Amino acid sequence: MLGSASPTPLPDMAEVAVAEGESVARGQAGSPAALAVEGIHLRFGGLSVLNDVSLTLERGETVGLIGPNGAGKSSLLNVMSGFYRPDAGTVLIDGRTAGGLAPHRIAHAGVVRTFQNLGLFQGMSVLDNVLAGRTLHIRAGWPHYLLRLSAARKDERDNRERAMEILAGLGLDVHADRRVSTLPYGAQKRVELARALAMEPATLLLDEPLAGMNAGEKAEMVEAIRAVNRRDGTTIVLIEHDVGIVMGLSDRLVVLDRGRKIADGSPTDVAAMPEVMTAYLGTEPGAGGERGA
Amino acid sequence: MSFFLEVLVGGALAGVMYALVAIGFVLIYRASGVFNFAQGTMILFAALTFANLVEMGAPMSLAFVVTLALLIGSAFLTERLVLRPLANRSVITLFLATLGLSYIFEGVAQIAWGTQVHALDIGLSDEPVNLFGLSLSSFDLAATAIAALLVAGLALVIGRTGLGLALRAVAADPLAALSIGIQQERVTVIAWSLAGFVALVAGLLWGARSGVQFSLALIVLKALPVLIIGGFTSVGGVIVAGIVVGAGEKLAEIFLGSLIGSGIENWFAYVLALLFLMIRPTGLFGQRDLARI
Amino acid sequence: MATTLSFDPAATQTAPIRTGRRWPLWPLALFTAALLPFVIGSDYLFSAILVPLLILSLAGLGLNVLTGYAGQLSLGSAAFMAVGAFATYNLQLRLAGLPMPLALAGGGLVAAGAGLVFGLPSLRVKGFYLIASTLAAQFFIPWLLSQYSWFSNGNDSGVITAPPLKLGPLGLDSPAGRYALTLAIVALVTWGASNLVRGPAGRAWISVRDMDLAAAGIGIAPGRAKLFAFAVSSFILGIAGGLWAFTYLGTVEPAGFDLDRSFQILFIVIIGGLGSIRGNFLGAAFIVLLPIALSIAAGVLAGSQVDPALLENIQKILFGILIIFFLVAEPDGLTTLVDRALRTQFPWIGSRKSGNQE
Repeated sequence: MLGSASPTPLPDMAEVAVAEGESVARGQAGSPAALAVEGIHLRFGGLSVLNDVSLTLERGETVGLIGPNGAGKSSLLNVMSGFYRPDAGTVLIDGRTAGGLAPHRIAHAGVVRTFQNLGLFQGMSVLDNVLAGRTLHIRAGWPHYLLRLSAARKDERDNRERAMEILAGLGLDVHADRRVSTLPYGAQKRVELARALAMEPATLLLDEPLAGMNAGEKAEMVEAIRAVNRRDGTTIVLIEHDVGIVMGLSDRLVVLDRGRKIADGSPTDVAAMPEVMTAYLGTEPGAGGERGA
Repeated sequence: MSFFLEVLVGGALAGVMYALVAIGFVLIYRASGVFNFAQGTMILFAALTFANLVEMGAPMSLAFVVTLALLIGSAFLTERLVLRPLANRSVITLFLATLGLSYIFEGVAQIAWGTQVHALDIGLSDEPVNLFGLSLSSFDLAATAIAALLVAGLALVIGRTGLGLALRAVAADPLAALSIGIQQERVTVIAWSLAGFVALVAGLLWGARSGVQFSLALIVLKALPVLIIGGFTSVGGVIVAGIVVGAGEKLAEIFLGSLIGSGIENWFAYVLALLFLMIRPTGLFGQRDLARI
Repeated sequence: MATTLSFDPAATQTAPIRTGRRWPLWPLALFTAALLPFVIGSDYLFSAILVPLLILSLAGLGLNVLTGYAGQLSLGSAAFMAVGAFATYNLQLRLAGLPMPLALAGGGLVAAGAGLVFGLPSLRVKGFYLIASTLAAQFFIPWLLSQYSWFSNGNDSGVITAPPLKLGPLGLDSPAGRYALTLAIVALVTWGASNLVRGPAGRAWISVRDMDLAAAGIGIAPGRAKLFAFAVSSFILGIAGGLWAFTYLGTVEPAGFDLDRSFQILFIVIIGGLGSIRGNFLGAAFIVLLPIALSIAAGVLAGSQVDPALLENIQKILFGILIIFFLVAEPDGLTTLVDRALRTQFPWIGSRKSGNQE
């Protein structure tokens, strides 16, 4: 499944059969870290983007990933989800190495990410985008769909129901048949979250999910994210510039600055650290500054 | 052995002409991000116009100027009527538009000048020349010299002049180029006119070599394998690749042809490109594009 | 969970708000196609218009799967038609007693195999450069078929002649019979393709087309999706090729499946609408009927006989202009134009989706 075989057997897990015979594992309390990165180094040409970054996500946590622009937050997310291959370091999912795995395999392993600049399929409707997110939960094979056999019809019905449920939960069900490109930016962000939720992920990596939203929308999104974490036990990593929101949502805060991790702890502890303030404000605390979120 | 060398050299000379056609592509590709399928019909149109003007009694220099003016005029029209309305559309859309363009060119050319093959005399004689013990055609040598000069000149323009820099800027990031005052329309017209000039020279050389006929339009298709094998980003690579393709297909035709049948040169370049796509997609000299997500 | 909307839907709606029952158009179209021509009973209608129209629609459908839905541009459609035609011929020839439909399906399968081979570079290369691979198919396959006379049962020029058409004991060699068989097969394959396109496979294709990174992010293996598109597309094109040989021309040669044919199919898809099922029929109708309309118009305008070469060139120019027009003004093709017209005139007709799929 995930690269090299691990000697430790994984605890009792619910397995959902998917088209390729892979399983999407949902862990429980006491299992190995949902996702861990150790000693990650990443360079683009001569530019060091991530420098010896290590981070462990316990199952069920919500971790806020913050830092000034260019700190490497999105790049770290890309490494975690397999889109960037680090020059050094390991990525572990549920305790097993995921190094070298292609992004779609990492998605199969239960790690799902959203994109900073929207990763929606503009040529499809809202509903179809979310349905696409049900890929890992398709039970019938393509021959069943080809001939419209009852197994496929039931599969499609079930997936559609599930997709509409998720859309309704985010207030988007009325727009199910519209092309996503006709929705405002904030609504499209919600569709992308809906699609990620449709995958029933074990770990959710959200890259600025609240960008482009007004206060009301933000509040709804925060509720939705909190619900996902509480109700489904989904581990969440959240990149967000609205520090107030991040502090309210997160169990833990991790701060990156210029490719290095400079803080990792409870929100109140981290917020009080002088290094963090310096990173954001560019000066000693107490002096005025313009930099930051 | 000397036969082998003669075939090799003869093919390489033809290859320089492929490179010439391919460079026309690189010009337009860099300026407009478009793979101009119409380049072939432009070549044909140029050669036909020139041939007919000369047949009607015009002196060669006049015919050259008139034809060039026509090509520049169509560059203007193309920019206005085709490229501007299609700004920001996908590469495939733009390519398909140039496909439509080529049909228009072809229809107009055939209505204007008819379908018979025209002989073209541009004042270069075709006599056997003995060079290093090999019997080569004087025409081939002269044509190669002209093509090589043109290629070198273009490489200089693209690499060393302000215009070339503007071209590269527009290709790399049209918005950014706009913001520093580069006028995209002007750059586009200049690039297409240059490409037209290249098309004219290539058309005259090819036409004088094998008569002006409609298969000329298909030469452009061979430029695509040349670009793939050489790497889209490197002008030097295009030259080398042109020679490789030209020599390769001639050699394959003569030496493989006895084994598996004649007509290999029709597909050799493409199958070679296919292999490159599988084994070394960036070509001999190209560079990987880094995508930031 | 609150269902408050943070924006006003009426302000951003781009299509008229739908009310009432909507009826799909295709049953009516199929019904008409199945009955009306037999009522009219014109042999010319069958042989020169309807049969090529249906086959070209099918070919367009094949290309649309690959280019419209999966976003992989192909200039080699005609080559896969050739594979289908010659494979069907050889299967029928060498497996005595093989029923026609099975031979056609077999031809499709062989074409699918060829599609997989020439589609392999899509695993490594994205988008535009891929056309070199399809061009390789376009130039290599006809060469192979004409070079080795085994494919044409010993004929030196690679010409194959289809045997008289029959389905078991039922002789179908008349224009009406050919039309009936073509209609049945095209309807069946279209139905199957439509099922695939509306299901997970279609969504996977569109995902890969629109943003393959995001597709990977939701668990779709882009390479596998692309190869599947190549296989399905080539299968459909192979069937179209088999029909081209067996129910339309009767005699074909590799040169009839050249680059111009591939362009013709590409035009069908552009004009009809990329990413559409019924667009292929509209596009094919356009391609088949336009030359006829043109020569009628020329005859009317010019009075005496018009030079066919001139007509052909005018047609070329017209096609070129139309391609550019459709790309600029209506990238979703005729099918969207027709949809819009129908929706305003007959609001009770049309598909239930406003998205790309139908």
